[in-house]
Amino acid sequence: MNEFTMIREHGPAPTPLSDEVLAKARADLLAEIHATTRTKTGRPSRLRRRTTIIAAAAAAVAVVAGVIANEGTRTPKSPSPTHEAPVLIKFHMPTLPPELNPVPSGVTEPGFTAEPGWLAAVYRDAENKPGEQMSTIYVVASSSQPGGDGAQTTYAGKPAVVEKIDQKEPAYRAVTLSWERSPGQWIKLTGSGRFADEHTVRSLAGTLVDTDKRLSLDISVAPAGWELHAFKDAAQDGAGAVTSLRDPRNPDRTIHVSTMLGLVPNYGRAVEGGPRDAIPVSVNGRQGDLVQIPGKRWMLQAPLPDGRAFQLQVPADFTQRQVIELAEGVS
Amino acid sequence: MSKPSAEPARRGEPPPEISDEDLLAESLVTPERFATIFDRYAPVVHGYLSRRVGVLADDLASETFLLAFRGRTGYAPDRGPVRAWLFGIATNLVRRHARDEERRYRAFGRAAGHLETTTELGEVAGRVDAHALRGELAEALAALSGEDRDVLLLWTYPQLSYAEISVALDIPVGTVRSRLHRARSKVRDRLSDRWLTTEETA
Repeated sequence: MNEFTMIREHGPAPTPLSDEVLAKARADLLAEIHATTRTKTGRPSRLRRRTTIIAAAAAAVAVVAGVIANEGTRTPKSPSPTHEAPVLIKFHMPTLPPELNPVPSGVTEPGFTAEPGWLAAVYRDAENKPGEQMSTIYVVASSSQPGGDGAQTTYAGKPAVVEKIDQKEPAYRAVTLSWERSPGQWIKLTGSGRFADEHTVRSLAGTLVDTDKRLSLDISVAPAGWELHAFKDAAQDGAGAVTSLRDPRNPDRTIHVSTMLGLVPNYGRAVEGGPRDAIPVSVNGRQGDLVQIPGKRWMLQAPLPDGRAFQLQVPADFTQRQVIELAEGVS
Repeated sequence: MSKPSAEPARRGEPPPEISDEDLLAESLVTPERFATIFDRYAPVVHGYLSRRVGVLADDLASETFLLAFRGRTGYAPDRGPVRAWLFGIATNLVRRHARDEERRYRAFGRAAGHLETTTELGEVAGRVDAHALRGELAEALAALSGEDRDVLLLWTYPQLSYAEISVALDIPVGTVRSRLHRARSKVRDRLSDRWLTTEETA
């Protein structure tokens, strides 16, 4: 018996799914579906739904850290009774991984994703023919040597590791080359599908160039000591990007910023436990809404200069002024 | 290596020839079509959740489908199957309850320490073995990092592939592979050799 079989057979057993629970869940879903149908021609329910899902996604987004806010100048107004008073300071988003120049034909411009300790550029298959494995390129930058059990080799005169996967079922082929590109910067370049060839991957590595671009959803102010713990790129329409910061001393404390296509009408009705009172606020001269969910968090929405909007979620022990200060650092 | 796909429970509708992806696309125009995706996957999603968070699964399974329905416009069929997307949403919800999950494993391990009395010596030996294994397993799962546990349990319970887990968690396939390798090694390190063979590999 291997570990997987053992977990399935001797790990925690599933609890029974009763007919009542199943029926209740289905009824909840149908109520949601019917509400959507009813509001289809009324107020812009898409924005409201999208906001809710973005908030949920932000709350659940996977964690990890890389960049820490460490340049403090400002002082808090009122300390929290349960946490150290947050002090807001300047914060710099990390630069993006080196980019492939030129972008290989057949893949998209890169999207970005970050989790603890690494930041990746993802060049997705632009064609994605049905029935064929997608051909994707990942460029993952990290500040520590990535794990792995590939073969030792060299690249650009430096020690490197090449790792190959040739899996039959489900079919998946990939080749990864990892090396310390510059002191403290480790790169893992993975080609899958038609890029899953060591010669191809080495050629791609040769086209990497540094960039000073940074993640698209920027937060220029953050509580001292907090760290970037996740970033997820926007969808094609520009909505759904999420940047999350976390207090490493108390990982339950997080700040999330997410993009939306526009402001949510009746914001106080859309937030958790609504309807709640929405306070009109000015964020960099633009009109937004602020809602307090007592004991949990502040929710703020405001326009971005490009016509989209963003939503900010901040723990409840920050002051109202600090929430607006954080919002004014979003771009 | 052959890795069977998890077979979603099918309750009545719809005809199996309609793919999940087509159903989801139809639901953008006819939202009611999404209920069929619920019918196909609610039992397996609940099963996965309940192994991780116990009775909380009753609420989280419902929430998984509400979130999926609300977010269905953001589903990109070129990135992976609906099934992987659903388990990704469910896994995100589990993360909110990481402490409940760890408590559950530890309780499961403690319960394994309480043996029932019996007069049958063979039965006693079998139970001692099974209980000891359960206890070790529970400790091993509780000790994993959340990210390693997510990958291990998506592989083990719904039996998603590397590529599907990559979609579910929005991480590169290579990361899936390394996390699975790491999680498996940690579990193996915590289990007595007598339980393990190498008949299957990830």
